Amino acid sequence: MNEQELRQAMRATMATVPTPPPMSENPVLDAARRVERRRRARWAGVGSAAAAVAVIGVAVVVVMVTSGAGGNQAAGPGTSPATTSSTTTTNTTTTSAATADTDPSWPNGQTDRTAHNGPEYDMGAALLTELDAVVPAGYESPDGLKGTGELAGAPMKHHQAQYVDTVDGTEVWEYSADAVVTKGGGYGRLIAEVNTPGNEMTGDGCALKPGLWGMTGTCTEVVVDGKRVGVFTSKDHETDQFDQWAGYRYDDGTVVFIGLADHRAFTNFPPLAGPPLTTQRLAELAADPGFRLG
Amino acid sequence: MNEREQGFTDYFASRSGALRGTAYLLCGDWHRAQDLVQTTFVKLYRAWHRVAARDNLDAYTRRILVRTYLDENRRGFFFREKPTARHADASAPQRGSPEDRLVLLRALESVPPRQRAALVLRFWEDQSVEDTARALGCSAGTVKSQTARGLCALRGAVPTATFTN
Repeated sequence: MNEQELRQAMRATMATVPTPPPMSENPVLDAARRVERRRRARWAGVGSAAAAVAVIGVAVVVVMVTSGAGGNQAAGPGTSPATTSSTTTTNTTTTSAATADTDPSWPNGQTDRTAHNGPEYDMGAALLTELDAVVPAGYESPDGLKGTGELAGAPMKHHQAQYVDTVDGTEVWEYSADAVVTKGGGYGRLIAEVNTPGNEMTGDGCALKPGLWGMTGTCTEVVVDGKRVGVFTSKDHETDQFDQWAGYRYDDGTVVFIGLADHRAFTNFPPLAGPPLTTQRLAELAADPGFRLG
Repeated sequence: MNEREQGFTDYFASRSGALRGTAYLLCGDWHRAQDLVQTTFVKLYRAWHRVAARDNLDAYTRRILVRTYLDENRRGFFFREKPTARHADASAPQRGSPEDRLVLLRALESVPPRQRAALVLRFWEDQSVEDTARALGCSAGTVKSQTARGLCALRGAVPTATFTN
């Protein structure tokens, strides 16, 4: 079966299978309203709880001052509610969420395209270490941060080594490292992606295609120590997950991308006040041999 | 019903049918397809005030649907055993029969979720590689890889003559 046959088969199938009556909008609208009401109530509850904790704290301090009680005893009630509420949501993990991909043709005995251990996995980990090392001064990249919103519970800092294909007997790999960066209560994002030789990228500088995740944007070419780096700026801030990304292709075909966003897509985290890196710095990092991973 | 909700229900009326078809190809079950569409629109409702005026609202909604589907599979909500009347030595279906069409749905069941989503977006929704990558939240190269693997898995599950003319 080729692509065209599958396309025809899908249309033929959907034209044949019995279709249930159209969905009514009322149950959906009711469900949406309920969810929104619960969400608002939850936020109101959080606010009330915070206020209650503050009141208890103040009351305890007043008792301490007036009775001269020991500090260790008095601190308990005031701090334990907050501690409890902050730890009840930390039991979520996604590490066991492997898909049921059983294709036997993955390399190195892998059960899916992602290397979960071994030298390729280590390359992904090394890339995250490199990314961590270039987090700009004044920003932090917390290790244990979990997502919110659509990414509730998902780790906000991770790396991956994905097998892409074997070209002329050489395995092509894509390594990525993804991290949230924080500053002043805002959350942004940095990503590094390395495509090993044999990948499908062509061109240099602004002609580098198909680019990072197929995103398109306006491009400015920046020359870093004689290396042509394409720095792309998203034209669709609402849809693209990154605001800006830079790509550099080495002579052997290795392509390095560094991307940034002043927000973390699909979460409810507040955004940063501005981009975490300058355009020049972004270009320098894309051309930095440290990200080439040997 | 206020103006926001009117716009939302109008959009639901115009798009829920097509979206349910996509959901059906993703999951192979009308009940679950309707659940997926409902969940998608509930999520969309939350963001409606800031996304309603978008030119690419359909793409945004499609992305919610696909990610909801993948997320539910990842969490194992729907990894349940299904009763089946199929037997390994069953005779091949007649060409063009309803059963013949169902062969595709059965074959799709054997394709891993992300590959299946890539196939449905590329060949049912006719999305470009780049748009599919955005919907799946992965690179274009990964979409190509997933599509190729998905087609390979389908070939192994569909009798050669079933869909050829």
